[in-house]
Amino acid sequence: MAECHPVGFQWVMEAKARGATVIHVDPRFTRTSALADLHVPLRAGSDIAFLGGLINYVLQNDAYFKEYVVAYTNAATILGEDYVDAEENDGVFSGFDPEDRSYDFHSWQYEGMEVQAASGQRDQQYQDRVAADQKSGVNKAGRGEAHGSGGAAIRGEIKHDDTLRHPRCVFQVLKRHYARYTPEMVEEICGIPQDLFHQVAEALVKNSGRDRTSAFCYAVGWTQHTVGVQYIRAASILQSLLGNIGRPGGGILALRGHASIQGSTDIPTLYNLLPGYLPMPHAHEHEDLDAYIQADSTEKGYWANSRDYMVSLLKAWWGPAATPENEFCFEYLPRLTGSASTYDTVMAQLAGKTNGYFLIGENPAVGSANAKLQRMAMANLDWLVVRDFSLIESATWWKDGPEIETGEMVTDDIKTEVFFLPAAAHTEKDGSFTNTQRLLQFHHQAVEPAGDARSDLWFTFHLGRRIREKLAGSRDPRDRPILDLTWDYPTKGSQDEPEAEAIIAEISGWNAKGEPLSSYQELAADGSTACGCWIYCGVYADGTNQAARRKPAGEQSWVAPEWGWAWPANRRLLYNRASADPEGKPWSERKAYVWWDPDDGKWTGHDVPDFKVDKAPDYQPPKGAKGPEALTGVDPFIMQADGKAWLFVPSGLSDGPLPTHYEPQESPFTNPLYRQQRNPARELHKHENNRLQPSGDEPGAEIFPYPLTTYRLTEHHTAGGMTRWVPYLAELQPELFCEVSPELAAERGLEHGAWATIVTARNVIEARVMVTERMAPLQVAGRTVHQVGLPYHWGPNGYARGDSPNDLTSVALDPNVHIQEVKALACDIRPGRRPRGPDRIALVHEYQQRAGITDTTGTEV
Amino acid sequence: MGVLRESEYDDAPPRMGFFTDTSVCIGCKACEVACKEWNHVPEDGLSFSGMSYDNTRGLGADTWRHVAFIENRSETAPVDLGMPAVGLPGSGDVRPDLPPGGDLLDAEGKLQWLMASDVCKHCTHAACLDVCPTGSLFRTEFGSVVVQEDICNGCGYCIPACPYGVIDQRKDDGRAWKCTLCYDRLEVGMEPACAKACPTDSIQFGPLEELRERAQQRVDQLHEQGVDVARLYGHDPEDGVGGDGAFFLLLDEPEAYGLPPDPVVTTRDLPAMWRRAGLAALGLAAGVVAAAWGRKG
Amino acid sequence: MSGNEAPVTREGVEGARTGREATADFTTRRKRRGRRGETPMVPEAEFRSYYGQPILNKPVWSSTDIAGYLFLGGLAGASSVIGAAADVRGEDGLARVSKTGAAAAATLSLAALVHDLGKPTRFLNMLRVIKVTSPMNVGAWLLSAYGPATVVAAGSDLTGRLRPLGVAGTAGAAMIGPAIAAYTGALISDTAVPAWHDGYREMPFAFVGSGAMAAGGLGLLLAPSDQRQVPRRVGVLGAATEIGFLKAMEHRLGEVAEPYRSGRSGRLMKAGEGLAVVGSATALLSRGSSRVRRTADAASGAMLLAGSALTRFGIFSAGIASAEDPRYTVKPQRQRLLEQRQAVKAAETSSAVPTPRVATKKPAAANHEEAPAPTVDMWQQEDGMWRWRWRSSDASTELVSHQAYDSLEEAARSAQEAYPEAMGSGTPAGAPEPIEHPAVAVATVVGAVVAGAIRRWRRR
Repeated sequence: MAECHPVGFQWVMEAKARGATVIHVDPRFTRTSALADLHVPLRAGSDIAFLGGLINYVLQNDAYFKEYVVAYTNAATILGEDYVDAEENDGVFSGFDPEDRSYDFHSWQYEGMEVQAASGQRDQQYQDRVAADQKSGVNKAGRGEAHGSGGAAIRGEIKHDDTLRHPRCVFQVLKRHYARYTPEMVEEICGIPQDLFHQVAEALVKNSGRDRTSAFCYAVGWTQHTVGVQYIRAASILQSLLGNIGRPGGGILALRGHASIQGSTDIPTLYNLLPGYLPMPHAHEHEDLDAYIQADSTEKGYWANSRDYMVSLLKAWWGPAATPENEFCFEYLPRLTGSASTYDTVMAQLAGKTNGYFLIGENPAVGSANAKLQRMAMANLDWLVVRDFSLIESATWWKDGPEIETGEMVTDDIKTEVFFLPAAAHTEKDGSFTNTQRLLQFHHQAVEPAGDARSDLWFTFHLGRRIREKLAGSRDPRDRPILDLTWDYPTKGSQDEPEAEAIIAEISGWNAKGEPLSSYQELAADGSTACGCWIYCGVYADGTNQAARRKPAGEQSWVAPEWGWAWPANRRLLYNRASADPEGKPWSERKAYVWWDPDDGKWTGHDVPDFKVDKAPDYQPPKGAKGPEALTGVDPFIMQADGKAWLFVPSGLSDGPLPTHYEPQESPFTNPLYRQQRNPARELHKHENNRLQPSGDEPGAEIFPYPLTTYRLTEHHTAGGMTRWVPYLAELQPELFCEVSPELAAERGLEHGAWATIVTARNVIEARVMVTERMAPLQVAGRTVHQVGLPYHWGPNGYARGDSPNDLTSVALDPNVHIQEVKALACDIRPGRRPRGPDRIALVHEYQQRAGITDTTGTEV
Repeated sequence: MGVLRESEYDDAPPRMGFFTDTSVCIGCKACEVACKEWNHVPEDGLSFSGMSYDNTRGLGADTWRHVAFIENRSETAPVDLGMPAVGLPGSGDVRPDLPPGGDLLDAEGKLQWLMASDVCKHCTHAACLDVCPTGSLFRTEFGSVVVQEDICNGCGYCIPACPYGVIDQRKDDGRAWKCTLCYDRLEVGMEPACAKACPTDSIQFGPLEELRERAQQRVDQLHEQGVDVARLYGHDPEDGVGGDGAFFLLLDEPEAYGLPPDPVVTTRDLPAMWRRAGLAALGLAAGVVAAAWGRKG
Repeated sequence: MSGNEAPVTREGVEGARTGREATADFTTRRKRRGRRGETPMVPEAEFRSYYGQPILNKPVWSSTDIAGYLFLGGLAGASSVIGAAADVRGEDGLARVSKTGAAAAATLSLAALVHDLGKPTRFLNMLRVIKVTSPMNVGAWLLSAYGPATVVAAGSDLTGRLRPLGVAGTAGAAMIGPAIAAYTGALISDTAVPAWHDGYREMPFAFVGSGAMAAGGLGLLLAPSDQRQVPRRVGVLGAATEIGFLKAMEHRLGEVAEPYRSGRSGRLMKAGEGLAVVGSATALLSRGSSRVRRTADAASGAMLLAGSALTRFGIFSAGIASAEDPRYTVKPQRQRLLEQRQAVKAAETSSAVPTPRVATKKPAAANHEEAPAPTVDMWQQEDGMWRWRWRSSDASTELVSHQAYDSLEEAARSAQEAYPEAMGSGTPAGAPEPIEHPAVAVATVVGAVVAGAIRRWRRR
């Protein structure tokens, strides 16, 4: 965190000064470790074993927060009889279909009911719900990262055993699932000595409960794996067991890789989501608005109102054109026919099925997994538009990319027409950032963009405007969705920059009279309200930009409600009903946050209660109640169908209801827990430039003996587009280097400061050698393992140059959100510089042959 | 004996300076970048040094803030180095009912990664200022030592005179450059760019007297926590340079950070030098006279 | 410029290794701190550095310019004195050679200085202030007075015109000459460069010796055969002085003197010394026919000139070498801290001051019967150096002087600076008044020159 979020880290230091204990879990000793109380090095890609070990420790030692767990999680819920745990099936859950590597989730359901997911694969149930007769054509399409706002559907009545003794209750299932995740096993898999593991477990348990809470911070080191989503799930289980969710000082915080990455999922740049985590409709036959809502909405919880949200969105987009008669233009929405995720798109490009590509603030030629595959794919396009600060590698690969040098590409043969459009920086435009705790902070323009540089807003608005001018007067129905759009934003300044405030006002929404809305509870399904993103409803309440508030900390409460604006409803802490006990009293004075005031008969406290403000703790829903009304007074997780934190996930995940340790796609080790080596549902893309390596004890695995992990440095930002062209930053980390232990350096004859060549089945790169004790060798499965650390910022352009580590990585994806596994792979490392020209390929081929790599290697289930 | 020019200003403000508490430095180098941005100091080299994460190497004409990175294996781990609690949203003070952080730290041979942001010391007895033949180097009303670039004649005398190796010559124009303590910002009541940019308040700017007290409290606090290696550097008005205007809290010997363990302002011995030069001159004259005495050969 | 193309810098690879050495012996010290908890304990005699990076920024002067400046300054200064002496003795040939040589050398040295500054006008920046704390500033003023004087002296001698002015010029040059030859010793000593600064006690003497040697050499090389007695003596005397003081300096500096013995600088020093010795010997043993003697004298003169030059270049590059290696900066300072701690310990163990030779300055307050005031003691250590110790009124606190001084007076002066109230006012008795010496010198030279002038009038 000190490494990649130094400004945020100042608050960790503050916490430390107040007695907080900071534990840093990372394969490497980083700037964060330097300031942490305890550094826990582990083998890259083994975190679920570590977290599972902690879960097991908590369960075995009865260290969980009993009242919290019974009341607020689904621990007591009883599962159906046909559920088979991975533990009983050597690493595979019931419902797995080896043919298309996918799970049928039905056997994971609660006993005698059907639960719709809060998030994730919400289309899984379309068949059951709507079109039982239709064959499951698009089940795997549109797997989305619909997390964030949550939301779940449940039909039927929940059976539970509050004594947590029922053999099929979630608690017992959990216990059995993690029983073998012992400290010994953690040591064998992660290389974490048992005493160190106990230090962490004891510190965590000691600091959780009524009087204390612990927080988890993570970044892409947890997510960029073939089991990325399950990493976070494991943390959620642990935090729920310890009662660290919905309470001050608790939670699981995703440290984002860019400013407003959170914003880009709230109001998504994702193909399978609409604003506010409404799923994108699929290309089911005759799917109309009713069918869409029916499939997606829930009986209990706030998702029951999804029609309000959807209709208001359609009104915001198509305004007057959207009427009850035409289902508010629901038909205008594009339909998904399959996955259009980044890597699916790249594969489609390679297959020649995609002809155009916009790259806006993205540098896949350096930043995406298997960068070579990315460049090859772009060379298949008809046209490519790059919007960035400077001529990044993704804009120049066709004339000076690595494949030009190796001869795999010849500039004259490349048909792709490349357009480069200079972009404006955040200091050159108005706009808002949404940070990891859902806080919107507005920033104002400091200077006009220089030269031809323009903001993304400018580009999008004026592009739309020109297209609409071209289509003006068209009778073609396919042009209606564009022509009917409300595309009338006011502009300002010499460059006709659209008013960002006008857009945030539209996002926040208004009623029929055009008055700004203040809460999503005001949204209606009759078309009387328009709202660009229901969870952001109220950010422009009272016609003032709430996100631009900057009241100093000293002048308000410690929750600082008047600094910026947090969705939903300026709530700083989600599910904060859980900060009070079932009777509505704070768990402890130290941790009092939101509580029930019996005299006033309403919820009160430091924050906006995340609960119906007058719903008493003893509230029981009347028979047949729907939506929020159907949740009891002790159901804090109001977006969930059952109002509980899910220790076990009955539906919504593509790769199992419980996090399970699988080895990374490429690992020098076999999975000691199950015969199932890797995540059976992981997503792979076969391609000659995406060859995979053997693992564990498979022949040829010894050719790539070293786990490799990629990461970022303070001095640079992701693929370097914002930093490698800035002299003051470039000079601070001028060259690509790899970090290795003195032992590995000795083993491979690497000289500090000299060059090393690093090889995988995809490619070979060279890097300066940084020999450092910060890369500690680990004892894993009874042998010493040396890991190779590789910051990935560099490419051939800019001031600070070097090879791109992502040339080494493979496209092996998490099945839920299609994120690439670049935090744990295996490589070989040797002294000296890499070969030039065609010899570079030759070396890779030589390695492939020595390891006996074929197109099927590593693709077995 | 160093020559301290007593402030020639009437009603001068208190002497301002830096206290750099390296125990909370996270090595983000924001100070280096902020300094170069504000003072338009040019980029000076794009080569990989291999000195841990330090590719800046040291202070010079084009580097006025330098963050050092030292990889250490300590015999006993330093205990929690939490920052002194400064204004936080909500309740101000450290909660006594909380356990002391770092109670986990008993690991022997814990790996340490020390980071420290170095800068011009703005000495009380500043050799660079003393030896400057043009008066280009002068002491400001804030007690800082600043080069007037329009007067500097590039003689380079200040460079070997500095006992810390701070000031240096900018090759393209031959003149000497160094940290100005952001004189221009101070004059309009702003703090120096590096201190402004420091996220963890490792770099603290303020009246020197105040900083010295704060530093003493901090070092005592660390000693109580068992961090015996913590020591102040450059804070002592009786040291060889009469105390630094920019002083430090270090967790290791000064030379490990590239700082001289016991710097002395060279002009402390200048009177002795002059006396000897006088005697030598006399000796020369006398010698020749003696040689020329008496009849021609 | 591509990072990829940049070769691994030497500091990089080597530095990293030293860095490892440097960080290997990291130890936390359990012992409690003194009253001011921060002072580190006495370090074991270890050497650590930051990746072997120099602590100092080395001088940026070009050796040809500045080392040449040192040589020429010495040559000119001493020659001016010889020139005057020659007038006194009526040795016109020698006078002409020396005065012309002085003028030429002075002009050249000025040129060297200006060349190092870059622009001629930059020299004038130094004349906007008078600053005794800056030897370079003092030098600038001396040079601006001396340069013209030499030119006038030489000009009048060569043209035979404006004789009174010539006499004045000769006298002036002869008066300032020794200062020119000597001040450069202070110039390079007044830096943080260990090999230069630490040698400040001997440097000015070695420099005037070197200057005399060069000036003598010039005379031997060019003066008429019957007028080489003075340059012969001056040259040999100078050589002896230079070698003697440099040897003393090297002996005193110990490890810091390494650059004077080893490396490029060491070789230059040896060569310079060799030429000085052989040159002097040749000068003394020059006998036989006039042709033989002329050759021998010329050879010895050339050798003395070259020897002086080489020594100056040697001293210059020794300074650079000592600045580039952090060892020469760190080790002596560590040693000093060590001694300081020991001195404190000694002071703590024996309440009395270790050696009998003690001068205690009673504070003014103590004269009247009032509450005891803080006191300052001074004593001489085994190595003959002096230290002072401040003791608080209740004797609870003692502070020992930060460094040792080579005389009671210097120690007293430093204590005076640190604790005037305890020292009372005024400098302690017996402190030499340096100003007198130049006065005496000036008087002598003026007297001699005027006497010489009068004798010449009489002869006509």
